[in-house]
Amino acid sequence: MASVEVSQDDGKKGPGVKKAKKASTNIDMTPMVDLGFLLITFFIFTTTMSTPTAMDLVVPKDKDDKTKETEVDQRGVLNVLIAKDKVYTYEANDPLKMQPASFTDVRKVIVAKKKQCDTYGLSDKFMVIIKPSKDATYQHTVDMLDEMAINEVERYAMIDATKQETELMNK
Amino acid sequence: MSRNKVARKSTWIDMTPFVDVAFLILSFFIMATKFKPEEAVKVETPSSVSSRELEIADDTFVVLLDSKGSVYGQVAPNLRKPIIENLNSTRNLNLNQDEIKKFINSGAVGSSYADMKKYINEPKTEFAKPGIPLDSVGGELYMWVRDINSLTQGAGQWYIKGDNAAKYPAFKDVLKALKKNEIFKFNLITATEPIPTGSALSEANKSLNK
Repeated sequence: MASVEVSQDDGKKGPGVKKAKKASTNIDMTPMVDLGFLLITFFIFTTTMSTPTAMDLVVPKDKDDKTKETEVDQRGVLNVLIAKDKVYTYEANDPLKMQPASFTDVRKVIVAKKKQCDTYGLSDKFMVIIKPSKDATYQHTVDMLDEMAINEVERYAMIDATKQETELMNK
Repeated sequence: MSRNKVARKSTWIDMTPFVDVAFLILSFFIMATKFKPEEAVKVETPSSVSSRELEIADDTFVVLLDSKGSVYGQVAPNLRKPIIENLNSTRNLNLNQDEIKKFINSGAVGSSYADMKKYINEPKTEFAKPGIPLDSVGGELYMWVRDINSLTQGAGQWYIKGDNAAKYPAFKDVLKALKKNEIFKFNLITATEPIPTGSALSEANKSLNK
């Protein structure tokens, strides 16, 4: 392809006419290929295919007056505590009934609670309270907020774990 | 004795198609590449199902939270000049024109006000270790946010880019610095993650597309 066909015209020019020396038109392409692949490797290594996305987070204003705190119907509340490498969940306001769950299983717990609220007509009371502990990582906190989006939990809050809850988690 | 002569084949291979393919791939990568903007620290973000593409426009301030809990800032290009000139006079940073220019080029904030002169000159050295001073009442990050908030007259957009390994208390302190400035809506920068099948969100998306 790269080599141009050279027509053969031997002995047509008669005696005395010197034949011009034909240089080969074949080019050694190896260095070119080398360079090409070097550049490809460079771009492959420097490219990140993932596009960053933005996730909304709206937080409520801190209220100085503790008596004005939002009242929630405990029947629809699911607490999710984030420990170092797993989560603990419990319903309503009874931390003693805390159950451990893995980060992948917590979705089932949330979905089950949501379904339970739907069957008892408490759909608008359903609320998830996320309580990251001091050992919780940013990743797990964001994962849990993402879980709210995945399961379409409309009401959720993020507050600190209480002392009692932290003690129960560390047990 | 006659021996059958084995015909010698040329070892010359036509590399042209090979080159064609190589350069095709090469041009694809060149065109598809968008270089990451230089940032003060390396941050590996968590992923989320959010599909809103990130667009860092004017009037934005990105708070970077690294794995050790140190906080850095990235100021949008249109705010860099006014903010640094303002700070230079109000906080006596003693920056010369050259250093101001350096800040306008990078927009990176990675130290206390007191260390800013050193940081601008050598951003990759030890001064960058503690980042912007931050405590449970906001620290200097609060002041940065306050200044940018007043500069943009409330039109500022706030982004938090945290590292996977950062601890929750550091994140909480960042939130506090923003909340103290009456900023309650911000964006978390994340990587993309597919929506799990069978979840409420994927079902809702399905019925939307129908």
